Amino acid sequence: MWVKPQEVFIKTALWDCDETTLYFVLQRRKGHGKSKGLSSLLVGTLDSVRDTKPAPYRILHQTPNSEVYFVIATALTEQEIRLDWQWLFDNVCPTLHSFDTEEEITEFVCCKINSIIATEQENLTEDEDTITYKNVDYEFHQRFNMPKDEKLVCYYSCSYWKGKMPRQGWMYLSVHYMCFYSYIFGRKTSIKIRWADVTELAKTNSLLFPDSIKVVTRDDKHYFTMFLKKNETFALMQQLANIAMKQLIDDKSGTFNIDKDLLTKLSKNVPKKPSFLKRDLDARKQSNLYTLRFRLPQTEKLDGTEECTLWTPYNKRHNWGRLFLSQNFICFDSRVPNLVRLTIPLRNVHQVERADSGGTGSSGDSGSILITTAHHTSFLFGNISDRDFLVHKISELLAKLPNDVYREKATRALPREEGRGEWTAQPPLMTLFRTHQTSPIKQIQQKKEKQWEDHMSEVGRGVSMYQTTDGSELVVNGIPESLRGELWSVFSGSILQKAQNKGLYERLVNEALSSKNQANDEIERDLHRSLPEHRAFQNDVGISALRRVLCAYALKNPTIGYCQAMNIVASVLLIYCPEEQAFWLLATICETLLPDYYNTRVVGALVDQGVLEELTEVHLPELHAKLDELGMMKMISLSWFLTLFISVMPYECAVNVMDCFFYDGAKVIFQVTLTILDINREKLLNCTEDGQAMQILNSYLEGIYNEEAMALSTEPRTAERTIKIQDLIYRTYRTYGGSVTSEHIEHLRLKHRLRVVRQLEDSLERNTLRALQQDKLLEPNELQELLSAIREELLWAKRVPCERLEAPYEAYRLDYTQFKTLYTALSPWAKGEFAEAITARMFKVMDSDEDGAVSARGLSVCVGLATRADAQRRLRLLYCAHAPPLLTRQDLRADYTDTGEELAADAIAFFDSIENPTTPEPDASSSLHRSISEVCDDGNMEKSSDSTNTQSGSSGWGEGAITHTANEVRACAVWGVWSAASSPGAGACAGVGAGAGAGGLVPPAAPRLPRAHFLQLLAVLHDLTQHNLKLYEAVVLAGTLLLQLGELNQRRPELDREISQDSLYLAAAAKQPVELDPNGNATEPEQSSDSVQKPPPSPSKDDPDNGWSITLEQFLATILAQPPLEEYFNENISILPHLEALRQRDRLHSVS
Amino acid sequence: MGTREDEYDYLFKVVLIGDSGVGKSSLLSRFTRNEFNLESKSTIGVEFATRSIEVDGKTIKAQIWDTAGQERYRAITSAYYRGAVGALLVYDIAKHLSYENVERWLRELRDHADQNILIMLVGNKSDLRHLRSIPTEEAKAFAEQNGLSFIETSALDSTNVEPAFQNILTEIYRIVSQRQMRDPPEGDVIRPDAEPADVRPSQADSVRKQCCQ
Repeated sequence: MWVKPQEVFIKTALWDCDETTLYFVLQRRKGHGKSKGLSSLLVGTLDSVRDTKPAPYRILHQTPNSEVYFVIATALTEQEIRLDWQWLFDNVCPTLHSFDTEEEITEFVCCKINSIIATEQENLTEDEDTITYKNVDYEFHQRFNMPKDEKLVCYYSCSYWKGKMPRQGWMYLSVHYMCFYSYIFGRKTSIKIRWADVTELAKTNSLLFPDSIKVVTRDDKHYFTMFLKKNETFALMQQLANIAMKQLIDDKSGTFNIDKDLLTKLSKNVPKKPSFLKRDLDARKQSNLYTLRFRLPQTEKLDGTEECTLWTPYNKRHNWGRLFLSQNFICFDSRVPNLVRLTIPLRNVHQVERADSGGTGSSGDSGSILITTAHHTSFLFGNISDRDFLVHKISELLAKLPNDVYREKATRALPREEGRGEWTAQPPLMTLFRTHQTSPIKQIQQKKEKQWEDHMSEVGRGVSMYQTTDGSELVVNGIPESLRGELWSVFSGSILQKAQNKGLYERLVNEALSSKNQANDEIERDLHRSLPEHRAFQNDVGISALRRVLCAYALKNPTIGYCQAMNIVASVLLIYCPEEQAFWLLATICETLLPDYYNTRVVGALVDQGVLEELTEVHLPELHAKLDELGMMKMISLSWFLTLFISVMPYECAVNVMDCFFYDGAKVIFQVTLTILDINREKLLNCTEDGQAMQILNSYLEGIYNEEAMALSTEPRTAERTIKIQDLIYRTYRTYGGSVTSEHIEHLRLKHRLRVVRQLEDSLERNTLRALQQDKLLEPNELQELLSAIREELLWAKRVPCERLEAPYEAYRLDYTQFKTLYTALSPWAKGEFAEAITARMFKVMDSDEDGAVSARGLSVCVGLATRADAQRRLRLLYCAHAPPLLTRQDLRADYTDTGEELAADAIAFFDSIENPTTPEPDASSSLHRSISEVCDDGNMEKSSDSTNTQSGSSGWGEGAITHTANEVRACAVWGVWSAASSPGAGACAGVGAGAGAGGLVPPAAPRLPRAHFLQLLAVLHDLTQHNLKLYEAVVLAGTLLLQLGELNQRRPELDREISQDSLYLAAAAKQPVELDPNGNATEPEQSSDSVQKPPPSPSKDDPDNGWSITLEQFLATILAQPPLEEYFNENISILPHLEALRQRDRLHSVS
Repeated sequence: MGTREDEYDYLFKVVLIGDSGVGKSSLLSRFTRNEFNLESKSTIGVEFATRSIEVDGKTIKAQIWDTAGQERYRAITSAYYRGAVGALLVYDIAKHLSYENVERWLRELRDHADQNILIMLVGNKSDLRHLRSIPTEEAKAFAEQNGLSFIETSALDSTNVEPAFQNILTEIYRIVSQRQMRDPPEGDVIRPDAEPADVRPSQADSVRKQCCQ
């Protein structure tokens, strides 16, 4: 390994020279390899005393006339140093002769070595990313327009198959993207794929694409090839994709954080990687494997590992294996699989000491340490090459343990304080509800207990028992009932969780029982449907305990809450374990052993169905084909997995499977399932339909029996006996014990997770699209694009769609920022000065539950209405968005610093524009002119608007005036769209009661618009039409008319009805031929006013001070009477170009 | 595989759907085994049972798939709708929420089941008279509006359970046999056609004559 050239002065001290040339020397450290003698012994000692052990081989650079030597390479093995030596000869030596001076030679050599180091191994600094890496990082952000916070993880040289041509370039892997860039012969290839869009990653080797990595997204396939480190690259890609998928499952925002803690942990032993992040990911991966292997809490971070031996007292042997160290545990696993495994929680550690050899001469004596626990058990590790470091490290970790858990005393827990809760935790229900065992069964149980007692006297008891081959054999035979609780907790690691979270269960129960929520309701419904055949659950004692465990868990882990099947599993746990222990076992199952199984989409169970399918295909190909043909491959064993066989096998048999499951992990359920399928293969192959296959398996499972335990069912078992559970398990281990390993399962889970999550996403998207299409506003392709824009927006905000109960589109929830980005980009109304205001108002209309978020449908409807609906509906939406109580006085204030002034100013500007006919007057009748002047003559505009505002300010539109609720206004705003299926909850009964359900033929009444609100609306219209003179004039005209109408309404509120009729005529008069019906669906003036004047309450009557108002009908009629406006608001606008623009938008600038 | 039990003229797949705890499994066990357990395990994923009935001298084998009711299983259970020719949409007459959710279940069927699936709305637990929260008339009206048949049952006292299954199976049979008369079975495939009440059997082999060899 090349090292940065470093000066050394003494070339021979402690070193022997193996080879010497003019410019280079190859040296070997004394005490290594061949030479033996006093000095070599001395060096050996020195080395072990010092903390840093120098590598035993090195190459020096020398020049004949200099006393200064440079170390340029070091190595641990002779072979390695020889390689470097050879390279020097081949590459450097030939050129050295061309230099004149020795200084030049030295300079050249140092420079050469430095550059090798820089290119080959870009990281020498401990914690900072190297310069090279930073450059690449910069390039990466530039080339792909990445936001600043997108982190590059690693980059690799490779080729991309573009058509039949491989393009040499670089692959960049970042936290959310994989990218490829190449620039050859003036041709640029640039690819950018989001991990969340990847559906499949695979290593392939086909004729067409030899030895490549295949990346499949929903629209495309890419092949990359010629990797220098294909496996590393692939592993990293998988890991990143998986992180993306996990994010999609968990709905946690921004799950990915650099774990600084973890980073420093592994830095000592892990070879340097090009980036900080890459190291972090590697560390994360190793930690995951570690926690999985020893069933540790997932928060545990691996600190380091060390080869060593463990002395096992029961057979008096030293066993080679590896020691693992993390912040709370010391673990050991033997090199020979399953020989011995050990977990020592640091909190139990009492003493760590160097155990120097007593001279027994055994090989395990050098570098031994002895760890004694508080329970006076000792564990002896030997052959530790760096003992002092290890001892130091352990004491460091011990010192870091939080005080409250430090050194658990070997005493019993304090008796619970009385009266804290209304409940007491139950002991194993088995002990309260004894079953009468027949004497042969009793004997068997006693015999087993004896075996276990003997075994445990050898290997210890509790957390730190040696888990040995003998132990696993005993497990396979079935754990005796009395020991199940204890051993399940130890094997599963839940005992560690419990110890780390003292008192949590009690707190959770107290809180959970006092709260009321959906999870608790669901739990309540299932309490009696968990293990009804057991006497414990025919009784309140068991039921209450089950309620506590489930409710506490739902509270502890809201992402899971309560999922049916957990009740069944928990009830069995309660039979064997004390209540709190059962709770932690359940937690371990849900979070570690069967990850994501019980979450809101049962993702984990679906993933494992995929894994099972693949395993079946490999191990039972014929059967796989058959089951696939029957269409039941994916569903066959769902309940088997979800309930750990409890719901399909007699319960006294399923617990034997659970014994193995806790001991060996999730692979066991796959192995058992495969065995069951295998046994029934012939029968299944003869099936003609899915039901038949289902029945075969059901009756087989029901017929499994256990002669070593009492059947607890209150009803006799009627099923025909099929196989003894012990035989089934024995057969399982014999057939699949070796071939289906945990690593393999984990690997397959990774692979299938991609697919399952993608499918769920897709089906959610499909359902959403279908729902949105029912609104009949936007075209399907527009909706498709709109939805991907929404998805994109949510992904950028690091929020993922989370499936909710109501309707598919509710999964996509946009907060105001996201809504704004999309709405302003898409809606024709969100232009100009009022863009922000109108966006906020639309958001308010669509946020019907006022929770600060709008669903995908909300966006699609308000964009759709503005671009597709007829003029009436568009105007109604605009009108309602400005109506109280949606548009509140606060909103008016917020927009304009002072209530009156700006509005008034606006109004003045408005009327100025009318009075100064710089614009040619439209062909309006003279009466209209007169009416305008009337309005203006009526008084100073400023004054009048002022007075309106002050009035409204004081007594204003009091509570009495606003008789419309926000939701009524909303209903009116989107009438014709929303009515069909807006509130599914009430839908059924509403549909039944109201009949026809289609929302009625008449839109719900809209509130009258007070002056200030109307002016706002007018200002918006004004702003929208500015670009077009004709439109602008039309707005001015209509606006004037409406102001006049409002005035009329004010003057004679008691004549409300006639006035509004008058006003409609008046409006009609603005258009030469009286043709009020713009779309054929509006009505004649009289009818229209009739039909609409009845429903709306007339608040103005009670409130004479505040008479100025116009009605929706007046507004519609007046505006629509202007042909240019009618045309404008009827225009069909395609949003596709905007969507395209949105897609092309430079994300770099939009993300800070 | 030549036992008498396997002989049938028609095989119909029927699914039981509805909220958790409305008594789907109880209806199933009442119909297929004439058993009733006040307390049985909650259904996880799907369960399955069969029973054969006689209609017009033909043996109809009903394959009834009972599904988990909890919301989060919906995505999974909808996979089982495939090929079903009938559905019993069950609610609990004493639980208003389960009735309100009927609409959602209908949507679920529309989205995932064959278009022409025959649906029967079943108000279960009719024995709980004093707790009733959905009037029979209301449900009936709703069923009519949505083109569903309707019945109230009690798996506990066995009221109407038999008729419920009999009715839906008979109706399916009528439709299928009518169609068979019109277009004689060709390779056993029965295609859906324009008639509104058509029932499309799942696969080509859903309707089969004397399957045993």
